[in-house]
Amino acid sequence: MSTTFAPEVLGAAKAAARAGGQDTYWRGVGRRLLRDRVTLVCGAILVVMALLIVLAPLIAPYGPTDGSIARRLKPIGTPGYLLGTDELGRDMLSRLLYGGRFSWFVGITPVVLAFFIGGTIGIIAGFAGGKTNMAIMRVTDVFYAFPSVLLAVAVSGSLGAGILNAIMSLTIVFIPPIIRVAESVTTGVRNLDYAEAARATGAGARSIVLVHVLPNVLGPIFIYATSLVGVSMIIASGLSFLGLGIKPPDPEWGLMLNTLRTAIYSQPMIATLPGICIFLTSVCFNFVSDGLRTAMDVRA
Amino acid sequence: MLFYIVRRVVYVIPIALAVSLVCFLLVHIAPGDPIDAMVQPDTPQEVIDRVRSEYGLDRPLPVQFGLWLAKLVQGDFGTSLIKGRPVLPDLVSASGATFVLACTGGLLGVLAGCILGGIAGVYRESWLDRVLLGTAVAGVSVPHYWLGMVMVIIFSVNLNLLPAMGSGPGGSTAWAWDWAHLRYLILPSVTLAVIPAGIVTRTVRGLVSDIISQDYITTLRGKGLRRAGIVRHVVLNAAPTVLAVVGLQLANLMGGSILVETVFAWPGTGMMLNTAIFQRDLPVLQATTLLLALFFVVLNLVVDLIQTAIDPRISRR
Amino acid sequence: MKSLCFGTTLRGFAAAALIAATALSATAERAAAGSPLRIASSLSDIPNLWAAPDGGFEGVRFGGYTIFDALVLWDLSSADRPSRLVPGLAESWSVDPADPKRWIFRLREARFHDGSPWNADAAIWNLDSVKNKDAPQFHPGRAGAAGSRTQSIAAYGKIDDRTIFIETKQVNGLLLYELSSLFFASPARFAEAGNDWNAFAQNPSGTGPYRFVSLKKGTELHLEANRDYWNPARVPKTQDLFVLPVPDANTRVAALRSGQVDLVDTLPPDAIPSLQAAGYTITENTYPHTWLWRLSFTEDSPFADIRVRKAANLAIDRAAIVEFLGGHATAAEGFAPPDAPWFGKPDFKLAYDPEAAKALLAEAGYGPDKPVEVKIVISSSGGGQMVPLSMNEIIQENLRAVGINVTYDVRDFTAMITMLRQGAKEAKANGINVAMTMQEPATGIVSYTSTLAPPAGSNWGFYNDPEFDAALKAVRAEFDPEAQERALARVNEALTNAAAALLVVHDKGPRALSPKLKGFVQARNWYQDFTTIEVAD
Repeated sequence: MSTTFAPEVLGAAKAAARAGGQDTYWRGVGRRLLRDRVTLVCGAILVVMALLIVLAPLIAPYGPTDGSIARRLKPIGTPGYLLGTDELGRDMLSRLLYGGRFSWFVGITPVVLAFFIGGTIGIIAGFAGGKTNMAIMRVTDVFYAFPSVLLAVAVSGSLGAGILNAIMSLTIVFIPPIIRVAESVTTGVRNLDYAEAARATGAGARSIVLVHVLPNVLGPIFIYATSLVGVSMIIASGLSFLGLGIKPPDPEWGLMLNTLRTAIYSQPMIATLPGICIFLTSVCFNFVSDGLRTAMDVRA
Repeated sequence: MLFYIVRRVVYVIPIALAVSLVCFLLVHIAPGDPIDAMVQPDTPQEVIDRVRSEYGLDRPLPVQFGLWLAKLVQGDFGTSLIKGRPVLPDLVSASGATFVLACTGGLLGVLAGCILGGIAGVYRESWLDRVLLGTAVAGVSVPHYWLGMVMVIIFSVNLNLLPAMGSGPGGSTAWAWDWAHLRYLILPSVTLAVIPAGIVTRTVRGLVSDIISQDYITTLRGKGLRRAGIVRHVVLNAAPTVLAVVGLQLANLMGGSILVETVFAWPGTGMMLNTAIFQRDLPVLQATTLLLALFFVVLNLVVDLIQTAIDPRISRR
Repeated sequence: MKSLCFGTTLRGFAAAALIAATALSATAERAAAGSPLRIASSLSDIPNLWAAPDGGFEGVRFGGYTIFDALVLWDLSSADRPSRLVPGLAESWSVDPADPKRWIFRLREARFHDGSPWNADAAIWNLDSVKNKDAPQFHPGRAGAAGSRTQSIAAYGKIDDRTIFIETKQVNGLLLYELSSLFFASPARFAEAGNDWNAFAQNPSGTGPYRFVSLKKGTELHLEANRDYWNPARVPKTQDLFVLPVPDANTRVAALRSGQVDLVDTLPPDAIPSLQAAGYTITENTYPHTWLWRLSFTEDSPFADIRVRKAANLAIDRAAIVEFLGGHATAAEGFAPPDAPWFGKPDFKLAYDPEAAKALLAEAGYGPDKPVEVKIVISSSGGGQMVPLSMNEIIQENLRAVGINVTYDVRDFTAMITMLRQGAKEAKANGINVAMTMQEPATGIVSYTSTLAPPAGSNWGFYNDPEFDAALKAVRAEFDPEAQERALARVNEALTNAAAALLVVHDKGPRALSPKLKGFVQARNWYQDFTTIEVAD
């Protein structure tokens, strides 16, 4: 579920190059984005969620671990507990707000890390070509040979549960596909006419990379990376669900889903809430990523 | 081109070797002593040491890897530390179960994806397209194991229509394609189909709308070719890419069904892997990961060859 | 892809046909069967059926006590009194008056399911299979699984066809407890299976109340009533028994509610009210289990100070934890459950008294600006661990309230067991949350013996209390069951008074039964007798 978009992002890079001046291109992208209501709405939802999560200590009515067994599993709408309470009597609203911090952190960090690590390696491979490219891509192929969920589960299962291990395993999962995308985009741009022309005029490798290659490849790699955030959140929550992710008492949506599972018969709505949060975030990231891709690809 | 194909096939060998090295190392960086899963907690140290040396777990890592590899080549996937019996027969039956599940889930997903994506592509930019695309994105974004739980509550517990777990009625020892068994397959395979359905919908939609907007279709239409004829053209043009995506999805389902298998107690490789992780049953963990990864390698190869065959313009190194 | 699918299908058909053929002949032989009894267990797989089950006590419950017997068995017939040991494959035993290390067992008349006789030769053959490395039937993994059952045995031998002797390394009045889950397999079937334990496990033969019918790996174990069982009172009332391993608690509940199984082991507390409302029977009973933190007594551990240990024990709101567990647990009052025959009269009362806890901590030199800092190893799941994450979260809050700050090191269950064996110094932690069985004094509290400190044994926290050591030695020297219980009470008192663990609750092992079932008695034991259950059609 991770590589299917590569040809499309290559299109975006070519489009950017074809459009000539960077300014005109980006202005066009902005214009198209502003017209795309779905992307705008999803982006707005993400911004609001991010704000709520960052401001959790100010907004949340209770601490994430404050609870009393006496008021456990109160239904949604209980006075003082807008979204009810969980299996240990902790306020669901506060847990979800604080939990978002961990879920977003575990969902986004691996993608960011993989973006920088994989992107750098991929650009080097694509630009250097030859033996360097060969060596890098063959090693990538090895890790690429594992289905993403399998690799995440196997690495986390080996390292043990924990937030850092979960981030590490997801980063390992996402680096190879990002290397592949970065390499193919860079190779594509490198072979384009204007890069050849720059080389013909005697521009050094460094200036070619800085002036011509980087601006044109970062966008597509970035788009590809944003499409991974949704996947990352779902796999991360899946790891917590299997008992391989975040450790309690840290609230995290996947873990909350796991510990609330047994309450699904008595308080189905509350048991469902963390699932809705994961779904909403993932959907918005995917729509925004789609919107960005469409906006940056002038083929349509 | 023939040269490329031969090279690509031969290239699978070093990849397979490297993959097996990764599988081997993966379980050895793990904390937790595998022997502890085999014995009662109060077993004396001398018994533990004896068992360790019987299983060769006291040798240096490179030696263990060499021995493991040598046995693999002879078709010996090792012996389970917990069960004390060869891994291979269990692995074969578990991969059979996962294969049934992954194929059915993949097929359902691809069917749904082709239909929804086809419709969306034909009516691009209409409200129908938006709704279908939204559904597809939702499918990709839903935590499917959670969806499975919700479906169990609805269809098994409340409506009492379908079994909540397992892969066949009591007393049946092998999978069969009859209704008694198929009932067990419905919920897990639908759950598993959600993600590939979303991905295939998006791919097919893009392909179909691209093909339709291309000049030759307009020409064909101009020449008065009927609707059925155009559909045939579209299908033929989209099929290769869709096949490639489908292949990758199937491989991902084989390796990614662990969560769904856990929720539905489906006796496949995912369950086996999950159990092996928590029991630190190294040989089982290694063999299962390796088999699934090798399956992925081979499917990747096939997909790659298909792509080369249909589009020789793709530059290959 | 298509051809691959087809291939599997073909192979599937062939296998199905083969199995159908064998199943058909098997069905013809069996008596007309009513509705089967289907049990969902919390096991992740069918235990090894080679008379040395894996999977802890759950594994023994389904893979041991069903097909096999031990020399002595637990009497599981009563819910009202603690279970005691009764004769099994040995109809009587005695200790040599001249040498208290020498036990004589008189074997009963019985036959294995394959028709071969149970006798002294079969008994010695089985002991060889786990003790004698040179015997052809010795298997290291199997011997490892049975290791804790046989570690005190020094020698054994045949006296006559119906009599054997067993000699222990030290005087060991607890030997019978150890022998209560050492099972005996049929040597004839082993030979039939080509002298291969793995083949034996695919078609096992024992002397137990159930005979093996078929096995579907990871999914289902099919057993049938052994009509010729040596104890007519325990011939199963239901012809067919299916055991389904379902590790996920929610899936077990869903399977019960959708009518796929009739009895569910280890229920999640939150599912119980809705099951009761839907007409299912819930059974529960105290059983010999204690949910606790084993503590570290090394010099650098705050728990080396008895005042800190007592403070921690006084800080726990056990009533709240019991409430969280839906009332399906008993608050701990000592190491042994309060209704155990060897509870005794400990002086230290495990009350909920945060003020007294703070006072004790102040006395020990701690206070609001100098809280106690401890690190505890816990797991996210595991046999006997109940609902570990949530329970530990409650405890963390309770302890913080009196000035003990807890950080958790969450491991998977097996990794935690490794750390348990390595000891507190290696684990770099002040406590470890491995629940303790009180079923056999021999496997639980024995780990507090000073000579068993790691690496020699499982004394995780390096506990060293001469009073306890002496009390345990007195237990081993007793052979009369009642005198032994009195001696064990001293052990419970010594450990409880020393607050040698953070004691929390005893599980009641709630189970849910379909209204179709009648006659199940939940014994106060880790093992249960399913032979008494009748299933209405």
